[in-house]
Amino acid sequence: MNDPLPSLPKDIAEALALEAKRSPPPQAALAQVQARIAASVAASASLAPAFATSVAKVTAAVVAALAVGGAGGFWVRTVSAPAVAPHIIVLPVTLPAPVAPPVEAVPAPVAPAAPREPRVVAAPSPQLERLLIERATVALARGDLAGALDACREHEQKFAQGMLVEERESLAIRALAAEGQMSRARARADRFHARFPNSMQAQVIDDALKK
Amino acid sequence: MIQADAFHAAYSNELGWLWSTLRRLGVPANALPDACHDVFVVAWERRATFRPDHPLRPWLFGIACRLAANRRVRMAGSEALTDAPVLSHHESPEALLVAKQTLDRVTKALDALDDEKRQVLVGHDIEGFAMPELTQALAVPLNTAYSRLRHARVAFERAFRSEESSA
Repeated sequence: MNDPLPSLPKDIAEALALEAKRSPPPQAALAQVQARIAASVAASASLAPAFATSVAKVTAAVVAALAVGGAGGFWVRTVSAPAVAPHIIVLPVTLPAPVAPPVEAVPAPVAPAAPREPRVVAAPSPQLERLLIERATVALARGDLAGALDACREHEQKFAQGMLVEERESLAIRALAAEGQMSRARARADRFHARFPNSMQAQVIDDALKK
Repeated sequence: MIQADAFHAAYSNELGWLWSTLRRLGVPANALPDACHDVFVVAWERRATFRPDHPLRPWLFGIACRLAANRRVRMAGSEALTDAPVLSHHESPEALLVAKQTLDRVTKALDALDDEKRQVLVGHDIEGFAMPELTQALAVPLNTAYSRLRHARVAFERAFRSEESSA
């Protein structure tokens, strides 16, 4: 790297180089996260058919690995999404230490196949805030527009000044537009653009209003 | 804009790297799965902003920095890290111990930095991003990034030496 900075002392440079070469995290942990990402992304409204196939492969592989490897502690529930092929959401329920005192679970957008509803570890914030946004994202992707708007409304009530307001507004505007409430969607979009003039969400909002 | 297949390949290939990077940015071990998930969900939502002629990692790094700092996913009393340093099988137990101690000092010295310094030092001196990539990822002017890096290096070295003397 050619830059005007003075060189690092040799021992500091070696220590940073050692840090850069740390062993990768356990493959099992990565596979679990990969399945969650696949499920969340698959729920996106912009899901492409080729990607749906990829997601099915990922989730099937992870579930099979869990079954064979005995990596228990996972709650697996089947989700039937109208817009996409049925897929599986794998939610870890035995993460290392809970990050905050547990509270009541945020209602899931669909009923689980298992007879007993497991408690999802959530917290007043920011975990609950993230859960609400994810709930809205998944509901919107499935075409559950009322569910998406409910989650956005709940987020607005509990996290008026939250860290994910930008995401919430984007989701709400897209849900309103998909519901055909164009005047409300446009009015909310105008407020969004005024509040977040450089938002990365601007394009998807504008695209939703064109449909 | 990143396409669906490319995105699938991205999170398959880059998840391990992202995990390590988020940890270097201060996300505690027990929050890493959620943080990794969130970075890629945000990346997917914002895929329209990705330029295919640019490298992927700096873009992901920018998202990771914002999430690690703005969502306050880091907490006091983070768990001890369990991943070991990379050493060849020919290394002695003594060398392994020294390497582990060095990495512990690196972690503590990083923890001593504020977010701005930490992000630029991790991005430039550990991840190896070129400054133009880093300034784009962090949305800061080049001079600002250099200034932060100079201060970050001084603060890191001071903290690293402090850990050395207290060890």
